[in-house]
Amino acid sequence: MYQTAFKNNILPLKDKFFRFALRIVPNVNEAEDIVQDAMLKIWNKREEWAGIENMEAYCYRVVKNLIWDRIQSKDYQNETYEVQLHDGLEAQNPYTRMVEDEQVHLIHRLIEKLPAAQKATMQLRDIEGLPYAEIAEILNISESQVKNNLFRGRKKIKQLFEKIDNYERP
Amino acid sequence: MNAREIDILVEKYWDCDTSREEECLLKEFFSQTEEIPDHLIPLKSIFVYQKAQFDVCLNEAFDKKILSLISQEEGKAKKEVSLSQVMKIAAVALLCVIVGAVTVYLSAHKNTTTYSDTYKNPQEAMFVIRHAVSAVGNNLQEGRQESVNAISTLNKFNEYIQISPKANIK
Repeated sequence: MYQTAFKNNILPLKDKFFRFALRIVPNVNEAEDIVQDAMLKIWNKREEWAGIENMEAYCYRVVKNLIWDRIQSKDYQNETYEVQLHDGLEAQNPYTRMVEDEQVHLIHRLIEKLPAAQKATMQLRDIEGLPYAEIAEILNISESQVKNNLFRGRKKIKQLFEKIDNYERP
Repeated sequence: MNAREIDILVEKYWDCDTSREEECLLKEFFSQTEEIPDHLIPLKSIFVYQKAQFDVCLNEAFDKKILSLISQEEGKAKKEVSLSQVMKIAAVALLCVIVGAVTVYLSAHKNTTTYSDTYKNPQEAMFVIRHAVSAVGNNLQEGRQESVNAISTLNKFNEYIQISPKANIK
């Protein structure tokens, strides 16, 4: 009974958790380890599932706690993870594609340098599209703090693009 | 959606005032290659980046690994359950052994306190009893005689005490 529920409802969330972990810990193997640990932890709590109101938020919280445990014990400043972005680009000519590639790369590097709370908030909102209330529940902060983190993160990206725009203008 | 509406949405996006639906509209708008106004082209990279990030995922081997680990965990849990059952059975068996041993000990102890026949021949037993009763009777007689002697001595002493003070007064 539990195995079926796990297979149908929890295991399909693995990609979301992986992306979330990868946003904070920029190492594929470590992010995968975190998701694996989280899955096992969730499985071991299977007898409590019936009392959980929002299973996805609960699972996210388990992942978040494991991520936070890791980042407290390690320094990730020197590690970077490069996403293969070409599949998401549909630029028509090599020059445009090169420019977009460069800008995407800049965004990626900028986000990597943001504080963990801002990165986590941007990941959950801008990539996963979660509502503010759920992000607040996952990160165990208030909705206003969520908006604040998001505002600061977006502001840095906006500033980056303003610099690029100014640089590109004749 | 015209350029003016997009401009408004972009401003709302920077201020974190966009709804999830509006953010989806922006992603959709910027993921197309045509009809993007020149001044908005630099922003395309942001939404392309977000879209590309959403495609990051784990492979199917991860599912198999997790399901295998879960089966192992369940096997361990079953073993733990059976081990605890064995321990319970052992405890009950030990209790039975202790209760049995105590019962045997008590019954054995009870047997030692019961009386058993000393003589098989009733006449011999009667002779011994008569002899014992006669000895007790003789001892009692001796005791009585000594008591009578002691009482007569005491009487004499009393008489002496009663006579002596009167003689001294006179």
